[in-house]
Amino acid sequence: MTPVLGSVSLSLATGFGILSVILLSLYIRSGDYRLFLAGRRMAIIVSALVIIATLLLVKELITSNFDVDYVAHYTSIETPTIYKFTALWAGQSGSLLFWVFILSIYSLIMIFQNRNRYHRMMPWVLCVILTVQLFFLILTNFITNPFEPTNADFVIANGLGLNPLLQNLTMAIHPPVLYLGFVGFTIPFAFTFAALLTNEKGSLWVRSIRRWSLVTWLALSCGIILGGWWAYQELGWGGYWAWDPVENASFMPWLTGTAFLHSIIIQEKKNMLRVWNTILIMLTFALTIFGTFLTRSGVMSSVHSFTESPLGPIFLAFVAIIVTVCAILVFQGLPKMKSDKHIESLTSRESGFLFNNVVFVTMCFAVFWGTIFPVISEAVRGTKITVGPPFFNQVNVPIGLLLLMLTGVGPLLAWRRTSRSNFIKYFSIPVGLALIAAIVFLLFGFRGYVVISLTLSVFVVVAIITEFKRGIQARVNRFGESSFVAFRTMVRKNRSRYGGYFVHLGIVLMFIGFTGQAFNLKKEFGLGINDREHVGDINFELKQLREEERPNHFAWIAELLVTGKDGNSITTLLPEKRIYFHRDPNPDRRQPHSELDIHTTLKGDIYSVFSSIDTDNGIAFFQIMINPLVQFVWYGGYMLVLGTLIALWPSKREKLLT
Amino acid sequence: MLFCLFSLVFLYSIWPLFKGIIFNPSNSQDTLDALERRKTILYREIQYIDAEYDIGNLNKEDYNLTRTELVQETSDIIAEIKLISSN
Repeated sequence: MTPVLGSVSLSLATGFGILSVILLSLYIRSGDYRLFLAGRRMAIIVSALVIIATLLLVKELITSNFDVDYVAHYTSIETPTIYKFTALWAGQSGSLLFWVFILSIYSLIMIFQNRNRYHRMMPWVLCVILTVQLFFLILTNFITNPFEPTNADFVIANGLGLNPLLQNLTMAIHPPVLYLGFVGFTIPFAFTFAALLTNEKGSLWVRSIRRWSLVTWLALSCGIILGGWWAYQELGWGGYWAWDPVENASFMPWLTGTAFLHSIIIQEKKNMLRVWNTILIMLTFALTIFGTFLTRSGVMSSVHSFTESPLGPIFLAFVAIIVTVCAILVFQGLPKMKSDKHIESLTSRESGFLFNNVVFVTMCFAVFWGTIFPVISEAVRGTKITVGPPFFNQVNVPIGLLLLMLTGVGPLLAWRRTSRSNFIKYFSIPVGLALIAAIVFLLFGFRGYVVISLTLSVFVVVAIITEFKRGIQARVNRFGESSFVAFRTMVRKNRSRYGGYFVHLGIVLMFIGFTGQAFNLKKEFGLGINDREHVGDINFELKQLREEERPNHFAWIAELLVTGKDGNSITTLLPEKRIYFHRDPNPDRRQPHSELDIHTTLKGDIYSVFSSIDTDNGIAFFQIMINPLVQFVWYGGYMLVLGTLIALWPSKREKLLT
Repeated sequence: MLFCLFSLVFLYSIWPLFKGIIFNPSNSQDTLDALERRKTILYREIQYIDAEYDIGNLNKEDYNLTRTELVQETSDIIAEIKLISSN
């Protein structure tokens, strides 16, 4: 009964969605407000029905109803309850339903939040959101229905179970957070679309999307960082970013979204760059749909693309329609959107923002090209030529370093123009200290990108500290406040700016972490009991090998004693070799998995992977990696979240306005 | 039971269509909202450039020019708000 209810909910949601779009379109033509009210109610019902359908699928997953094909494919009786729940987004149909589920929640929040605002834009906003909802509803209704019954004429005793790689707590959080970011960009896109069609001049448009964009950008950032964290903790290759097509799919909208968050400041302050901002937000949305296409169409093979499907052409057509419609709209709206103001000088903060935008978009294009190149090469020449991490690193490392430099340059530039004297005054200390740091790094024997990255990090940190110091000093001089009170008031009065600086500090920390990769060490070896090996100055001794049978897997646990060069004990690592579905009589269905163990310090991580075991001779094989400074990447992530939360926190005036 | 539930939901959604003419708050309200928003941004901008000038991120000439522009735009907007509100 429940699967039928789920299917009916999805079908009804589609029907109500179509009716709602018709009513809203009629309202736009006739102006009869009753049509708008009815259309809005139907939009609410669409979202409610999608939420009901999703909850019904969750119920089926948790109660292990293997009559539903999706449940039988992605869960088994042994799957722990939390992972039965996370199986919702493990497969294609479930993840598409999850996409529209999040959009439905966003849609309800948006409707409730703006029930008495943006009267001209709202019908269009609802139409756009409903169109996106309808696209996913059509997919889940007619192409890949999550409630489809199992195609078997016998009782299914157990399901196939969830991929062991996905049975990880980070993986329980990472996809929903990433989706919150991905799907969230639909709302700013809808407002942008509506603003173009209603000829909204700017202030209302900026107001309507700024906070949404920031919240969704934060979610997308957290999702990307969590994805890296999961890869680092679970995949066992010692890294957190592999330029996998699916990682790139989340990184591209992040890049354009970040560019947008910078350039929207110029529009709000100077009433410039409206066309550019419109294009950026449209591009970001198109990239989120393109990202979903990459993940779910099976067009690329990667660790994330677990399924192949016929969805590709439909998704591609949707992306093509979005891009075409947006291009036509922007082209038609160009004369009305052009600003009469211009950037006055190349050495102004405005041009700094613009330059940073150009660099972000260039990086996005490089990632896009590298990601789709295998598909294009296969289509044109018949052979799939994959460009791996070396291509992405070669192209993106210099661009990334340029961005890092701009992070420091931007705050030092004055609005409108920076005079020669101010230029010397504000740049001398950060540049001077960065140069001293560069000499020190060179004396320590560092070379190449390592020196450039660390030097730029020093430059940016000093530039930001200088900016804080000048702000505090100005308040101390003007209001006679103490330095602490001045700091607090300054941040409180301009949360978006100073929150942004905290985000920049987070980015610097991340760059320090990325730079640490240049010093990574890696070694593979086999050890019997009481055998020893070393990686760099660190020794590893296998003290014990234990066996343990757990509810959903069997595990060999190695006890590795880690000592320093003087023989001092550092830690004991316990990496595991697991076999999932170990009770399955069919040996092909048993899935081996290495559960790694990491010893973490600020200086670096000792990363151990139990890769295989020779049970006959009692030898365990390990892959050991020493990853210096990797923790800085995660600390940078915390700082980024803190900074964004500061920027998001509403001021008293905004609270009053709301 | 399901059919009744569906009928109720459908009735709820189309109920506004059976009401009399409803006032459309559209145009004037949106224009006022936009002007109020712009006014708030301009007030904030004036405070902001004062702070920027104190910090040294704006030279005196640009500061005076920007401030005059902002104050002028603010007073134009206040006048426009008054005009719309009085109508």
